[in-house]
Amino acid sequence: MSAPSRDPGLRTTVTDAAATVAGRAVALATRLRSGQGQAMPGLVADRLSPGYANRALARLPDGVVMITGTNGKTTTTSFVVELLRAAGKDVLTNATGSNLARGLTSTVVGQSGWGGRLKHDVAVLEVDEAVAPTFAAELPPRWVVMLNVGRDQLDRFGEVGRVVELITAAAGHATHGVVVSADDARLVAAGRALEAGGSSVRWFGAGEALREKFPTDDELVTVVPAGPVRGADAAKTPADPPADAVVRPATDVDLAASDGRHATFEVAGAARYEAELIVDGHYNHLNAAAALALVRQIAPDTGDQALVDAMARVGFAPGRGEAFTMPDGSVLRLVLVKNPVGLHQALSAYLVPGASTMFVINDDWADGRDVSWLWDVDIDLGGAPVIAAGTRAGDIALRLRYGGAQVCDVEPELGAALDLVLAQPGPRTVFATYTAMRALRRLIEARLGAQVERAARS
Amino acid sequence: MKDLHVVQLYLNELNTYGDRGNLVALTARVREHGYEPVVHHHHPGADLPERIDMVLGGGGEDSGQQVVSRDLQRQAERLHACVVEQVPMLLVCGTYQLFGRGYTDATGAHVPGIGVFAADTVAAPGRLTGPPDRLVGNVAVESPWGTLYGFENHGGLTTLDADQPPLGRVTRGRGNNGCDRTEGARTANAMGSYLHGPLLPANPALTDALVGMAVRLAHGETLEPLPPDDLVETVRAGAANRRY
Repeated sequence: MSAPSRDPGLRTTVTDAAATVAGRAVALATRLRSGQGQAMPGLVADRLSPGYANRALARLPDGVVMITGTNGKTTTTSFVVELLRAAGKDVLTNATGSNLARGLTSTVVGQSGWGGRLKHDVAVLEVDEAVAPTFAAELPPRWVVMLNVGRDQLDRFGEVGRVVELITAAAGHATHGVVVSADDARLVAAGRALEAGGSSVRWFGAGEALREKFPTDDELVTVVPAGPVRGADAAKTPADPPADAVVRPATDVDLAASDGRHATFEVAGAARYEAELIVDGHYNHLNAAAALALVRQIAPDTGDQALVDAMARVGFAPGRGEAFTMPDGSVLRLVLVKNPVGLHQALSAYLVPGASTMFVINDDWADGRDVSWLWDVDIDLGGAPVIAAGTRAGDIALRLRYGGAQVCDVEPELGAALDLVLAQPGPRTVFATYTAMRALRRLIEARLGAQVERAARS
Repeated sequence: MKDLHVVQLYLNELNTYGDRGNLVALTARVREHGYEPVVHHHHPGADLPERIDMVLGGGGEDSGQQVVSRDLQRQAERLHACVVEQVPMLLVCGTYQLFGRGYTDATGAHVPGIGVFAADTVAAPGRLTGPPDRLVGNVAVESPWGTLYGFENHGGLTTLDADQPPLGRVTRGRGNNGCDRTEGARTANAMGSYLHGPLLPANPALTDALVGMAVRLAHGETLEPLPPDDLVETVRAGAANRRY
């Protein structure tokens, strides 16, 4: 701008428009170059017009919903978006899992009109735990969902207690309410503290019958104390519920049953709803329960049955159990794993006896530099053959070998690893860390083109 | 098969950084050497077993340190006696700090240790806002058992007394305090270290050294070397070439 405007509103509008144009140009350029670059457009827009995204989001009539926690942010966001659409809302979301600050701004750049305004009713944003408090302080969300906490990228976050502090601080900014897991003692304590501070707190969780499928991070490494353990089992430390378990809050929504694609939700301890979903896996279904607990608060008039029906339209979030159908009709399933609880649940949901199995472990910054967590999960493959891949192929191979697996190949390079697993008979399950998952999806898309696009959406 | 009794300390309280892998690798290696591992999980308030051939302890969050510190005071006499008897020990991160003279946190509160190592640990100075600066990253350490590879992630800075030998010297990474290039500490056969990774799977020379010490002590026997392990060599080559 050559001359400063007297009207700060107009000036902001003009700079926001400029920021939108510049951000989009960067988005186009980076996409053309590398197929990546989710953060750059946001970076540029934010530099040109600080506070750009917040101004746009603050104008939304139904405000912002923040989804945070260690595992399940992206899948929960998908469910919340679809349920809100069933309630007639026009929803903005960062569907690609780009949940750090610049990625969020990039989302707004891509979705706003040229003047930097959004046409949507509500934004559903998954927000990285480290960013959540700052984000919520600058732009108080109406609702915050606290899914779970566990060890995840300790090299970034420090300790688990710190993650609880971060997301509780974010939830403290919620203007309408907070949706919290009733199954994690740390979050129950946090939720009760928020309640005591005047927040409206809603609870979701896994019903009695499913509880053992969802050990918390603390339970995962709780050892059975009775007597010495000897011989081949000497290193096994089976989970044992802590004796001083907290009293579980009464839930708004429980996942009462989960079998394959079939899920049963119990609302307010009474009404039961059955759903046949595209998405299988008990932990994905628990995310759906969180979404239901949230959206029935935001849009109570829609009715629980209509909201549960809408769940059936939600597909897999990219790489979160996503199944690709190969040209020969066989299936390759891609499962993101990034921390001990996530790995434990992914193995219990998707490890298929007789399926070809590959683990792809990278140690880029987004994966976490430290791969120690691979040793905090009991991996017992019972002598099954597996492929180890990724920048830390050797480390995961060593872990798997100690878990009794027969490691056939150790292949750091992802293209070669994909060849190896595709040479195996289907079905195939590939467990991959974040950057490995994204790289594999690109490789699969490049090889199979439109065929893959269709399979992923079916 | 002859027994080897391993005490695993405080796995419910200090378990955050994958150090359970040390137990996995150690017990597997003990079996490969032809002995039967017997693992005693020690929890606060319980008694240590009658026979102790080896001791393992890991790292965890600050919240776990208080209860562990109290229990360690109760066990201090027995553990010091084990050190004198040359019982091998691997004490990582949080347990390492408490086998020193203790840990002083950011508020100045002191969590007492048992002084097996002549070492003091203080919380790293914080930033103006946010969590304190932590020492985080891949580490290589020159030691009597060759190069040790691991990953450090600690908010405590440990300083050894002049007459306290370290476990080794860092050639990459920060080590005890980011300053004097020492890593860990060694008193008799008790080894303290900040290295996760976990440490033992990728460093079999150290694992065998610990097992050898235990076997000599328990049964008066000497270990035969095991054949080299290609997969472990792959992992170690990867660690040696890692740039960050």
